[in-house]
Amino acid sequence: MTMTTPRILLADDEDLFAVMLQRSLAMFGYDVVRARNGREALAAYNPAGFGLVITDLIMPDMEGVELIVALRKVNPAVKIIAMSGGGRNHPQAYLSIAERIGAVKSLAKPFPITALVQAIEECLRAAPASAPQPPATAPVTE
Amino acid sequence: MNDFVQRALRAGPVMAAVVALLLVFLTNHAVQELIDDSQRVVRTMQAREGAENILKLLLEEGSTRHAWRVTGEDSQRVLMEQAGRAALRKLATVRALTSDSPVQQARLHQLEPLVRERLELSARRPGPQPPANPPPPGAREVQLEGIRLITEIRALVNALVAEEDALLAKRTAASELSARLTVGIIVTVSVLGILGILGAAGLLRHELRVREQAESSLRQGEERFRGLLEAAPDAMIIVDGTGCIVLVNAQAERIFGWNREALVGQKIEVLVPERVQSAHVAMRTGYAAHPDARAMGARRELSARRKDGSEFPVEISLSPLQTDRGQLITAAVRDVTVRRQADTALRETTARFRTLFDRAPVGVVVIDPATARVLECNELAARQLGYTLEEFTRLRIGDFEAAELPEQTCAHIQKVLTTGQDTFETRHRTKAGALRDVLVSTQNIELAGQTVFQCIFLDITERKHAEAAQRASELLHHSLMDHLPLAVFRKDTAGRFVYGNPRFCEALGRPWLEIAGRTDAELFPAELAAKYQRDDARVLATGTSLELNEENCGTDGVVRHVHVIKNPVHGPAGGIIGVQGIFEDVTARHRAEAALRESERRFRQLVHTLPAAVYACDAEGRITLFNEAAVALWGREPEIGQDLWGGAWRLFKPDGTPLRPAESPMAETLRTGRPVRGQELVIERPDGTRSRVLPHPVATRDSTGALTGGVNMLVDLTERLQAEEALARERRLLRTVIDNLPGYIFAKDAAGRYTVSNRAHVRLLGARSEAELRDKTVFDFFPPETARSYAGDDELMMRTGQPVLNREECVKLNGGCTWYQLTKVPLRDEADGVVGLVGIKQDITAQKLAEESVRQAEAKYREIFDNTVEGIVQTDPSGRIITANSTMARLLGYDSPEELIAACLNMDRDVHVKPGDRTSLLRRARTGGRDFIQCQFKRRDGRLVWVSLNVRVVRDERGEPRYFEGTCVDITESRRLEEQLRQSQKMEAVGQLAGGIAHDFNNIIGAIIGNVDLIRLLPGDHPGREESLDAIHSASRRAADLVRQILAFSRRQEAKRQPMELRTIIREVLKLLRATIPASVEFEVDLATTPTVLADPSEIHQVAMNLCTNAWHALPDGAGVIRVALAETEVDEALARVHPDLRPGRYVRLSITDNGCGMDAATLARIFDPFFTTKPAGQGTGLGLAVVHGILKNHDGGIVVESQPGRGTTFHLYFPVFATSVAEATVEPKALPQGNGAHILFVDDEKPLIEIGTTMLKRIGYRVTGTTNPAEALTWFRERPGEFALVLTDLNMPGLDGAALARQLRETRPDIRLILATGYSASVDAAAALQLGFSELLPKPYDFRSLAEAVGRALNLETHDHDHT
Repeated sequence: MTMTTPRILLADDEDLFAVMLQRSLAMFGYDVVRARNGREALAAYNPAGFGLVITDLIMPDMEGVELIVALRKVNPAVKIIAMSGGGRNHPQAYLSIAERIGAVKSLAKPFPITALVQAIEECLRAAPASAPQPPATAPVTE
Repeated sequence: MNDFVQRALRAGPVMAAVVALLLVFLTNHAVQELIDDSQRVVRTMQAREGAENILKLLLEEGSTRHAWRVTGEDSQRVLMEQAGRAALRKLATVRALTSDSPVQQARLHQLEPLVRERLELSARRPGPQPPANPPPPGAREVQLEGIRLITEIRALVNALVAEEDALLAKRTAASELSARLTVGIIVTVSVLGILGILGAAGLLRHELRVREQAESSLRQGEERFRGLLEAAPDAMIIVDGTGCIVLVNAQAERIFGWNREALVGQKIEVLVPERVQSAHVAMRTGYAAHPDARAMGARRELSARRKDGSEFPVEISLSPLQTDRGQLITAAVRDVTVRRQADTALRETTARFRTLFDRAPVGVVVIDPATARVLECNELAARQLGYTLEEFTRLRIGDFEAAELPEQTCAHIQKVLTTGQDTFETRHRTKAGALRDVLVSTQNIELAGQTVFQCIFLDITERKHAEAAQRASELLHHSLMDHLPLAVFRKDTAGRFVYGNPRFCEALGRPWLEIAGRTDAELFPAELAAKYQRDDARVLATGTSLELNEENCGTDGVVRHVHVIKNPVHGPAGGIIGVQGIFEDVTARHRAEAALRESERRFRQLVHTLPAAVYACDAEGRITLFNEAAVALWGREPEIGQDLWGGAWRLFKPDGTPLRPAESPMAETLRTGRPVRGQELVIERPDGTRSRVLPHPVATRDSTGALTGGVNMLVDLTERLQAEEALARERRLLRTVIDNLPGYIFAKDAAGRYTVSNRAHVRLLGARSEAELRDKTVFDFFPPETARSYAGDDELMMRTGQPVLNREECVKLNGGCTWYQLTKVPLRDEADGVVGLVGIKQDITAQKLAEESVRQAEAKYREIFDNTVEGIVQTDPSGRIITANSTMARLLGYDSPEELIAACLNMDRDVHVKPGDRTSLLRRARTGGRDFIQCQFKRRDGRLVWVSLNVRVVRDERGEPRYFEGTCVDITESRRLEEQLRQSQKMEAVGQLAGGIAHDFNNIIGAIIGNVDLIRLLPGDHPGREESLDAIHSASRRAADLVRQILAFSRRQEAKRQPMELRTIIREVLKLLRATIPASVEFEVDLATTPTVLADPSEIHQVAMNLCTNAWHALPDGAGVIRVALAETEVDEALARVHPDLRPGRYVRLSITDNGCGMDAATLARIFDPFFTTKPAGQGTGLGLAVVHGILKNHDGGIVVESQPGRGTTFHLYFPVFATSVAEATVEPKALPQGNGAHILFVDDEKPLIEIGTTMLKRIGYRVTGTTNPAEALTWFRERPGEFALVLTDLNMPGLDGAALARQLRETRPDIRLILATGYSASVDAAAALQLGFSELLPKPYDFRSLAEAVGRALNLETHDHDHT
């Protein structure tokens, strides 16, 4: 069956991690566009083109938190998943900050891909009517 | 005997036959037994096999049936039926085979119905049918029934087989036993048979031998009889009763001239002269009537007749012989013709002897020993004693025998009676009564049946007289010869000694018996003998005497002088019959003469060699003798017999007035006959020189006391006078010396009296002259107490000879104190006896005072030296410790400076921990005169202490360092504090970094986990899997890098400086910082290629980290630019002056600049103080820059800080250049080194690592053997040490760790290449690995490349440039 593939904007400076995410999500049928930092991501974002933004929090040239703030300025309804490998002092703090400033979900690296996929699905399903249908193989939880 | 033989002959074969039969029987029986047993065994085996076969066949029947049913092929059915039949046949066979075993029969009985039932069951089962069809009802039951039957059958068959097995074992044993028995029987019986046959044969042989012996003895008897008959010396004739000849022997044939054959059977009368034939018949008849044995010769003369009719005289003996053929007569006939002729000849001879007897030229007398009467005598015998023949024949022995002892006569008679004859001398008295000497030869003879003495008398009176005269002469001769003091000998013409008197024998040293008959050659050495023989030959040839003086060397080596006269010996016929010698040993005389000559020679020599002038004059004063010394003294040689009273050229009196020789002492002695003494003379020689002499003239007299002359000895006094003068000179010299010596010098005699004193001593004792001191003692000059002490010393020395050497004494005088140093030594005479003493005394007061002040000064400084808190040490340029104070000693762990110096430490070798420290310190000190260093010392107990060491150079006059003076302070404690500070500061930094690192790690781990998930999700052949694996690999490498960085940063270890490029480490730092510092901080990096510096990477890391973090903190609001630059630079004099840490020269400069808040001058001045911080409390320790400063100082570098408030700060770190730039490693990865097929032993306790490593190494061309067990690896290696080219081992393994394994491997093969893999690079560094014997250290985790490169390096393989596929 055919369904619209939601495009996802991924912002992460870590090549290794970002490439892996890109490939994994492609496996699950997502179309992922990658940005190397917050600045690039902000430049690439447009509300129509991307159903979801996944961003790392610690990046050179605009950190994740900044990006979240900036994106919400562009589109207050933007759906964002934040992820982080932790910070200098209180790694969890970053993620809670991210959630507070607008991230729908936050994930601490490392995490299983399924957790991300689940998070993506949750985000997309929580969306208004325009939100895409989850794929058939996704586990049903409710 | 024959019977026995026959028996024996018969017994042999019989016995043999019996034995043979027995043998056959027994053997046959045993063999039969054996065959039976074997057959039984075979049967058992067959039965066993048969039983098994039954089962097999039944099973086969089942399987073929199954096959038939499935395939439907008829061939299978045929096979099935065959198997069934065969099983039944087998059953029958087994039954037959086991017919002797009821148990087995019973079993078979049980088995048979089962077999049949099974076969029937089988037959009942359905035939072929398609497999799709369901089995017919009941088939299952049938099948189960079949299985049950088979099970039962199998049980029975098994029982059968077991029984047969048991039987088989038993029967096999029985069969073996009977086989052995059979062999035994065969052997036994054979042996018995052979013994029997041998016995019979032996018996037979014995019997035959006995019979042969009997026959031969019979034959021998007959032969012996015949032999006897034939060998009889007489003719033997046997006749029968009718007078017919029965038997004759060869002798009979010979003497009668008849043939034996012709004679036998004739009448005996044929051998009798015809004239007595008839009488013979009658006599024969009569004898036959009364036969008795008659011996020969008892009858009158008989005659016999030869065949030719001639007669001859015979004697006959007869003896009767009774035989079964009647009476026979044996006659022995002897031809006596020859004897008759002999009798006749005897009678004629007797008559002739009578005549001889009567006219013999000797007296012959026949005496009857029984009556002692003269039986017969010849005329001469009678006439010799003045008797007529008639008168003499009436005499008895006693009438004329006049032996001196009558017993002798009896003895002679006795001897004749016993031995038959005797010859002796005796005396006979003549009729007129005169005594004659007579030689009597008596023989005991048989005369007409009577034993008589036939005596022959020979008158030897005249000869006796002659002999007596001869003997007397000889006695005289011998007596003379025996006592002659000369040796006398005589030799015959052949040179053999025929006589030698005792003196001669003595001279030869042998008894006469050994000399007699021998020649010179046998008695003397060859040379001597030859000489003697030559002399003898001359005497014999010329017939004249020879007189010789010989000098012989005896066998004892003593030379003997001999005077010899040799003359010829004339025989009675006047010819020369030998040589006679007389000789005398004149050795003693020779010796005396030689001794005299020698004595004279010695005397002359003595005189001539006397060092004193000696000469002699005769009574008239004429010079007769003088010696060489005299010639030398006189300067001329006088003429013997001419010069008078001496040989002087001119004489003077000591006062110089001339002296006539006639007035000389010698002349006076000759005149008066008395010696002159003490009158000195002056002798002038022809050359004008003079000598003063003292003459000692003495008169010489002969044995009668008459004056014969005089001897004078002239003693030259010149030298003595010179010596006396020299002595006086020496005394003066000595006197001057001792008088002017600075000390007080004196000598004392044994009694302690002063004998010598120098001027100073005289003054010391307060005297005016030495003479005043003479004969005085110490008691005259010193207070009694002091004097007693001196006298005591002297007395002791006199007694023991013990000197007083350099004794210091203090004499108190007028309140002051004078110090003396006194030496007294004993004075000895020639016999080494102490006869006095010599003393020398010096005033050392001034010296004493000086010493004392020095001592006090020294003590003062020593006090300071010893008690200062700094260690003070003096060392020579080689590093040897010359002096040290107590603090220094304690610092190095010694109890005292003496102990430290005695330990002979070398600073460089034994004290400085770091080898270069002292050298570099001294080098700097040499240029600047002094310098300091912080370094480590090794204490005696091995502990290390940190010291701050200041060194000053002390130079010699040429400006060369003579020694180095160092002061040092133990700064271990402050170092420790510093170290702690550094560590805590580092931990702070670590804390700061931890977040950043965690971030990096989480990213990496996230990537890994994600990729793993991806792989799981992707299908097996998806290229994305490969991509994920690559991603995992690079993520893992990054993680490893990160861990290495953290380790490098947090490693707590001593500084280890190594040549390195700062750029590398700075890059690492920046990487780490980037992860930590927010992106709001911008880094500007400008890292130029720089020369290497000697630096500790971890310390540089720490410094760079610290400064960068500081820079970050200095940025307002955490944003700004941090610039990091690295460049090579030259420090000039100006900069060096301002910054004492720097010296002019080339440096590498690391600059870290921030554009932050900057610092004011006051802050800037304090930044390197410990615990100074600008940060809020709790945010920093304030130690960072202090530590940075310390580190830079340790690197011989310096820090220059430039800062302006509000403009930012720059830290310039200067590191001295170690070497010019090294080419930076090319980024291009090199090709992996390829293996060479070498065999590698891979040891790691983690199995996966072995698998991976083995795979990797095999891929690039090595052979690999891997094990998780180090002990196993060691065993393999020891078995084949040459097999492995390399061993790669993990460090930490249970049981045997890598280091221990390496040690043992090396013991087995010292050149084995070893690689150590370890995950704890902190515990083992490269140097330690090398020390353990590893050529490479491979830090874990390692990737393919580092493994391949490490192995390649360890094996010295070139890295190939081309890529491998």
